[in-house]
Order: sequence, then structure tokens, then C-alpha cells
Amino acid sequence: MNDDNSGHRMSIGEDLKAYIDDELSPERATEVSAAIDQDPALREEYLFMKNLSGEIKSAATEPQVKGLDKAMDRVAKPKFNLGLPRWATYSVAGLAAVMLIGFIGNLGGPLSLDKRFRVIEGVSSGDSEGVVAAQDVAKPARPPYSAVEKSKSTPEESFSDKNLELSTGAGESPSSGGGVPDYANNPKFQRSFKSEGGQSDAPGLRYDNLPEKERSRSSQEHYLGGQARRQKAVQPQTSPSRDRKVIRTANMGIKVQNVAKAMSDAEVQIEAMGGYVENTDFNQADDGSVGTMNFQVPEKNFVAMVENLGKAGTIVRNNKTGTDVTGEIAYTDGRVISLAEEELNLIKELTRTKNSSDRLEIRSRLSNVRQEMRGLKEQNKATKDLAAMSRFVVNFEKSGQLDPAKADDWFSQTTAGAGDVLGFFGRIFGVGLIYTAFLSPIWLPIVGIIWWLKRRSKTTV
Amino acid sequence: MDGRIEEARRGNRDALGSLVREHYARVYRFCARRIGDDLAEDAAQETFVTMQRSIKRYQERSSFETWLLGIAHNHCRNLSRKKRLQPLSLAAWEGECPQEPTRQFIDREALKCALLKLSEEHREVVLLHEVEGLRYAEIGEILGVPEGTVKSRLHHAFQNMRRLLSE
Repeated sequence: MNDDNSGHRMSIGEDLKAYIDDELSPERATEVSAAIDQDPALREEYLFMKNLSGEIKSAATEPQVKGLDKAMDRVAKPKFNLGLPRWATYSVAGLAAVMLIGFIGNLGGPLSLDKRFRVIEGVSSGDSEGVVAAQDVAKPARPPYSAVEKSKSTPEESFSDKNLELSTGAGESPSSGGGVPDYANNPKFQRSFKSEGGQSDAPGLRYDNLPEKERSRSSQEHYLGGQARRQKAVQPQTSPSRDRKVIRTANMGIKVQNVAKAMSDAEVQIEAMGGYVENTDFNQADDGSVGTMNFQVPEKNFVAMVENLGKAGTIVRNNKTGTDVTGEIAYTDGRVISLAEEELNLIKELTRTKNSSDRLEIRSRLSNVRQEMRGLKEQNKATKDLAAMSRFVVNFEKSGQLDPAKADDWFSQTTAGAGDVLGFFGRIFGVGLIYTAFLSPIWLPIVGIIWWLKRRSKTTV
Repeated sequence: MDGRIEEARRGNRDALGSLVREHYARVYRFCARRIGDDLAEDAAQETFVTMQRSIKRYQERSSFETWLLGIAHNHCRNLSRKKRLQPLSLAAWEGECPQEPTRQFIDREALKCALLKLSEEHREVVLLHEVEGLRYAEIGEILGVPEGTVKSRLHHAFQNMRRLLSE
């Protein structure tokens, strides 16, 4: 008897085939041979199996071989292969997929493209959560040079009515005499005029006079990735209905090669568009120059002006607001009509009344109504004037200019920048992982099916 | 080890070509007996493409030819499934299955019929051993089963054939 691999003891009869095939150990073969000699039935079975085996061998045909050349061609064809182990290939592919998911998941989010550039370029203005709130519009531009005292305004302060005060008076304009002003050579502009860049001292209407519901309609654009998206976001503002009155403001930061030239060019454009400069602020320093311009252009040229400014250099900050005052104007118009009717009634009443004391009272009321009407008309006119012009606060900064305080500390600046980039990719990866995990009910079955199909068709030994 | 296999692992195309030339006929016939001439060419080519891709993973537990036939076996099985062929249809065998069983001892037609009546597992080992001339250990490598299982299957296959042929 002999033990097979499965542990079963096989009888002589079960070993007969293996004996014919010479697959038994010599000892077992001797046993089987002896059994065949002694048992005629076993011998008959042995002979049958041997004949059957021979018959099967001879029955099988020898197919004519073809296709060797094609096989040679296919094997000889060079195949692109990085030579990476399979696990490395899959790991890289998985990592790339997670990063891609994270990047897509981040589009428009806290790590959008513009945010990334702001982090890398170190021009983040503190809105680290990526929410550019209304205060950014009114916030004094971050002075990138030491000559101007750094603004300490908090978001609450920036949102104060003071900062939202909109000037309607013509501020000091260096171009008032005509021609293109030369800021670089004009000693008048060799120092900063104001500690709060971008705010006009000219008297003007106050935004806080508007009703609360109208103020709340002020829309605020977030940073969007790319010029195309920026344009798209601006687009709805470019075509309001004909009767709609919108007060528009823009607060921009632009990096340019030559600050003085950029400011001069901007002034030419402003005048060409029918606007005017309220005030300018140009500083020339050894480590670069900076400038601020406050100006107004007709509302219809708002988008064109933003586009032109964008052509001057690289936009690093672009905040825009639009406040719809149509309702306020309509309300005031309605109030004026109602007062006019009241005035008419009072006049009629005055003609009918004979009593002198009553006449005096009516005259007094008539006077009050007329006064209120005049006030409302003036207010309406001022609001319309306000909506007719768009206000810009633009900070020009020399491109590639470093913060003088940090200019010498190249090592910490570099490591900080590298840290930012690392953090950015880390967050992208993290977001990707979260998305991947949350979306696993979608992709996991698909991957599982693909894996199963691949495994099923796997043909390697 | 065959020096050509080592060279082929390094990407030497001459060595690969030499291996293809040497083993192609054997692989082609192996496939043709299983899935017929029409599909054998495709299966054989795929076998050598897989060989080229996987030769670095060849671990020499069996002969190179056995390893190749294992690949060919899997390709043939996959093609059979894909084309919905009867497994191991013996298309390349002589004779046709008779309508009535014959009493003639090991008649070719009766033999083919008996083989076709075997289970796929049994027919598989019979073909691999009797026709391809593989040893039990090599069949075990190709099918991924222990040698004892091959021995047992062969015994039972022959018992069944004896019964079928004597009916």
C-alpha cells in the first residue's frame, strides 16, 4: 500500500494506472508488479488500461503549426515599460487619483487657484479661510513697504461706515491741469500723503443713509480661479436692466513692472473713459515703488476699466461689490409724488379757508411738505449720481518686490514658501482622501468589478 | 538554468525570439487540441506575449515548457469561455462520435465519445498525460492541484472510460 498526497491509502487497483505510467516509487512498483502476476483479473485490467493509453496517444492528431511569424512579431514589438514594480505603479496611480480628486474637490473652495497663488506669493491679506467678506473692499490696501505704517484695521473696523464712505467730490487730482502726470519726477508725490491708503478726504454721501434692506443686498464676489472665471463672475453685473441703479466699487492690487508708468497709463484711461482721479499716492523707495489711486469712472465703463487694469500687470487682489439702490430711488420717487399730492391738497384747502389762524397752520404744513420734497429730490439725485459712477481703489506694487523687512532673510522666506507649498499639497491630499473615502460607495464596487474581471482573465501561472 | 531565459529576463529580444521559436510548435499543438485550429493561433500568440511580460516571475519550480503550457492552458480556458466553446471539445481528434455504441475494442469513434463523456476534470488530466505526455507533477503545476489529485483523477478517468467502452 502507498500513501498519496491527499493522505488516502490507495489499493493496488488504484495504483495500476500510476504503475503503467511509471509514476510509482520502485518499492511500490515491485508490489504492484507482483500483484499483477498473481491476480488474473488485475492483469486483465492492467492490459486494458495499457492498450487504452496507447489508443488515446495514437488517436490524437498532430495539428499543423501556423502563426509562428506573428508570434515572433508580437514578442519583438518594443513595449513601453518604466520597469517599476507593480505595487509601485499602482501606488503612484492611486496617489495621483487621490490628488486629482482632492484638486477637483477643492475647485472654488478654500484652496482654489487664486488662494494658492496668494499663499505662494505671500500676498495673503489675512482671509486665510478663503472667505473674502465685504470688509475686504473697504479695507485699506496692505502697504507692502515700510515707509507707510502698516494698517491695523480689524475686519470690524474695515466694515465700519467710515470706510464705506463714498466720495462724490472731486479729490485732488494731479492730472487736473491736463496731460499725463509724471509721478516719478514730481516731488509732490515723493512721500505718502495719507496713512490710510485709498481713502478720500473729500466730503461725500454716507452709505449708512441707505435702508438696512438695501445695504444687505450688497453682493460680494469671492476670489475665483483664473481670469475667465473672474470675467464670468463679473458678467451678470455688466448687463443690469436699463432702470436698475447699482453702486459699484472695486478694490484691486496689481503687480507691475513700472509703478509710475502704470499709474500714468491708468490716468489716461480714466480720463478717456470720462472718469476722474480722486487722489493718488506714489512712493519711490530704494527697494521699489508703490502707489495707490482712488478714482471714479462712469458705471458703464466699470468692466472695461477692470479689464484694462488687468492688462497692466498681474492682479493679486480683485474685490468688487455692487449695491442695488433701485428700490431706494423708487421709494423716494414715490414719496415725492405723494408729497406733491399732499401739497396740492393743502393749496386747495388754503384757497377755501377764510380763517386766518387756519390759513397760517396750512401755510406751515405746506412749507414743511415742500421742504421735505426738496430734500428727497436732492437725495434721489445724489443716489443716482452715486450709481452713475463706479469707484476704484487700486494699489500698484512693483512685481517681484519683497517685503523689505524680510528681504534679507532669504532662508526663512524660502522655507516659509516651501512650507506653504507643502501645506497646500498636504491639504489637497487630505481633501482627496476624504473625498475618496466618502465616495467609496461609488468607486469601490467599480474597482472591485474591474479587479475581479482582471483576475478572472489573468492568464499567468 | 537556460541562459536564454536569464537573457530574456533582462529584455534581450534575441533570447526571447529564440524561446518562442523553440516552444511555439509545442504550445500551438497544445492549444489546437483543446480549442481547435481556428483559435489556437491566437491562444499561442497570447501565451508568448504573456511569457514576455511575466518571465521575470518564472520561479523555476517546474520546467520552462510546463510553465508555458500552464499559461497556454489558462488562455485556452479563457478563450473557451469567451467563445462559449465546449471545454476540451477534441475538435482536432480523428473520427466522429457514433450514434450507437460499438462493441469493437477501443474503436476510435467510441474512444472519442467516451472521452467526451468524461467530466472536464477527468478529460483534462487524460489529455495532459496521454496526449501531451506530461508527468503527474507537471500536470499538477499546470492545473494548480497536488500530484496525488492528478493520480486519483487519472485512475478514475480510466475506470470510467473502461465502463463507457464496455457498455
